[in-house]
Amino acid sequence: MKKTEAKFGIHRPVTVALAGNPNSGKTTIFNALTGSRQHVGNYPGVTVEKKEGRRLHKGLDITFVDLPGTYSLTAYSVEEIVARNFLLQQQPDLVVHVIDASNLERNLYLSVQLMEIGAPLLLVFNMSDVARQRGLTFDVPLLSQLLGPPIVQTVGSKSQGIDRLLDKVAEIVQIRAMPVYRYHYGADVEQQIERLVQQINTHPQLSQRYRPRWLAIKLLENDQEVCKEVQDESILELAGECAGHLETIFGDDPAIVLADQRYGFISGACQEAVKSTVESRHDVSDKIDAIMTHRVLGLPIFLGLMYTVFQLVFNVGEYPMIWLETGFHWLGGLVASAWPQGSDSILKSLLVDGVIGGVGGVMVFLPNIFLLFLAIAVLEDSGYMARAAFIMDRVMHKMGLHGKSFIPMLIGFGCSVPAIMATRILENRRSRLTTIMIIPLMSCGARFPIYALIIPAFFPEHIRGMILWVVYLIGIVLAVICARLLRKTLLKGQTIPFVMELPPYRMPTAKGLWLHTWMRSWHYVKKAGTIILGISIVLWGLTSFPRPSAGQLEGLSSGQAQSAVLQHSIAGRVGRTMEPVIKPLGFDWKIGTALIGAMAAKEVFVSQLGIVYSLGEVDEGSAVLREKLRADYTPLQGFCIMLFCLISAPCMATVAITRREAGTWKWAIFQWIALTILAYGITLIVYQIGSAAGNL
Amino acid sequence: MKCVVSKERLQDGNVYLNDAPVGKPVRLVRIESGHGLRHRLAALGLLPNTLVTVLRNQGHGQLIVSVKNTKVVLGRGMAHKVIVRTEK
Repeated sequence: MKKTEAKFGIHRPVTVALAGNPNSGKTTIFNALTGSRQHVGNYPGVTVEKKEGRRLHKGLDITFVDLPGTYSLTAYSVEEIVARNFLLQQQPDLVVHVIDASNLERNLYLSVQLMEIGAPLLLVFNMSDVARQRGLTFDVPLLSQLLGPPIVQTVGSKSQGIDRLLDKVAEIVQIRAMPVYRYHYGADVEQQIERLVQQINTHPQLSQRYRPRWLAIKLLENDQEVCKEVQDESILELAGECAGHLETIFGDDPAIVLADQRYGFISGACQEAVKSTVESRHDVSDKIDAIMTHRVLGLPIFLGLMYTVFQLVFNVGEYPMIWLETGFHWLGGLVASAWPQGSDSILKSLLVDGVIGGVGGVMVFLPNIFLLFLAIAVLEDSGYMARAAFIMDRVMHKMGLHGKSFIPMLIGFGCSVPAIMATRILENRRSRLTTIMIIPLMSCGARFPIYALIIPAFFPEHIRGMILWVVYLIGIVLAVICARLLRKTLLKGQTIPFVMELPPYRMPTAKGLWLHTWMRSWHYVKKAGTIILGISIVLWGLTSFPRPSAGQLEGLSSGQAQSAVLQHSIAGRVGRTMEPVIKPLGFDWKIGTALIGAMAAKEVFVSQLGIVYSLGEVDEGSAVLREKLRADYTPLQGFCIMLFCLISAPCMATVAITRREAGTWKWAIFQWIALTILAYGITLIVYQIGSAAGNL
Repeated sequence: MKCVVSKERLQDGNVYLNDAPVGKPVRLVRIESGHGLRHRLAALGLLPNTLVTVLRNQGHGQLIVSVKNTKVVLGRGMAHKVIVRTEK
């Protein structure tokens, strides 16, 4: 009985790949299909993000793989190669191509290439509501007949048509029929393809692995990756001959001839099956762009938006922050109450000061970080990010970079790690390395807790937002200078020509914003729960041991005893040894000790400082810490702490990712040392001049 | 020097995209760049014989052009490799 049940309960596993242009709404469809049951990883060997999600439907256990967004399947970018290799090597049961229906021709270009590669294909006309608004009507059965693959219409942002899409996926996968596509090139091209296919068919090791027709087309296009793969001299020679033949007939590069014929086929099909009823080409996007990318207004609007983001993050985030602080305070008290009043238990100290104090000190900044990630998600999802890159191009050009570098730099305000990964959108290695080197100067979310602690401690309420803005601005200015320097010295070379699509403006969906913000914030929480928890415990140990003998503490007040314990500990000793070096910066051994912690992860600075100050005390929290800081240091010293933390040594995760993306340790080590020296120099100048001016 | 040579190659009525009038559709004639970039532009719909409209050209920096219903940002250096013909 049980056995039969289990047998009926078994779902057949199938793999469905999601392909599509960037901005086609592919991610929205993926989210609608899989919800939050997603797994994010990397494709082997490269650092392109691989997203997978599962869905049970009609007896099938469907794994959806979100391929990187591409415009074609050439070997021009890593994303294209990754998408292509996945299709060739994994051979998914079905490829769902998500198409922006309001921009059919450009999107179908990828469909044709997917047909060529021989994948079983289902076309999804997404954003069909936008298409309707633009006055486009499709004769779907006719289009499907002209192109070959079946078509489903959806509105991903409203989750419309998702069930229909799932039904269709199940239907196609069940039938497992060989796909029929009706696309053919002109007679001249087909003739050359046929010649090559015949030659390829004589090499079974090739013709069994790839669709011969696809190989022939790629060889005619002189695709470098495919040429490397083929290796066989006789085929390559024939390919050269065929390509040369086409070049004489058409007077152009065969790759362009093929692209032209694909577009010709697509526009032919569209002319028959797509009707445009509205003539007006001026849509809302154009009107918004008239203002947003205005030659005079563009830059002030951009700077104003950034300023608003910072104000929002700081002011709105304050309330939930207080709640969290109270919560951790309460939790600490609760745990401490398990021990009798005044007891000196090491376990109690570990739990209350090390674990709750350390993790709590970082977790209270979650509201700020959540808001920052939310703001970045709004900028990305609305389409403004690409405009920001356009507006910033002039500035970026002066740095020897181009507008596109601005996108990873902007992400750097969230976290350096995804930012450095985002530099993959840059095709030129020198531009890319320069951008990687300066990204840690973009003040990341992990440094925010430091500012959030220091600024209210030393500066009056009305200038807090401004001080924060100034800190961020210093990072940006330094990044500009460093980039220029790098481009003139170590990374000399021409800036390469630049192309980028400006997606239409879109109202971000609540679901999309939530998923983007949540996933990034969750990453932060995980970091707090693992790395920072570990470091907090290690640092608690460093600040607690070795303990001075009871005799040494006798007769001291509780404050003096606390200070004695710290000075006796390993951290205190290391901090004290470091003191002569950091004294010219206005730092003492306590800050030195916290800076040691910040090397692992920036936000550890705060929890470390918390432990340094409140060891042995149950009463712990930012408000108390701020009071102590205010008592010990001047606003100038406070500012120097922020400055040093902003510029110096990127965190361990950044070092690791730089090593991975740059390919060698050389660049990661260079980045770490250079930034630390820079931080020392600048903080030294600011503190010395500042204190001299203060003494006047 | 290089600029003068390529100017001479321009036939009557042909201009570089960065010199094309703003807001008027022009027809793409030829792209004078390497294999990879031409392929890239082709994928974005920038092919010989397509209609292209310059939407924004500030005399320096990047251009925004409209092609096949999408907006594309082109670097100025890139635009200087694209030859277009103004439609009568």
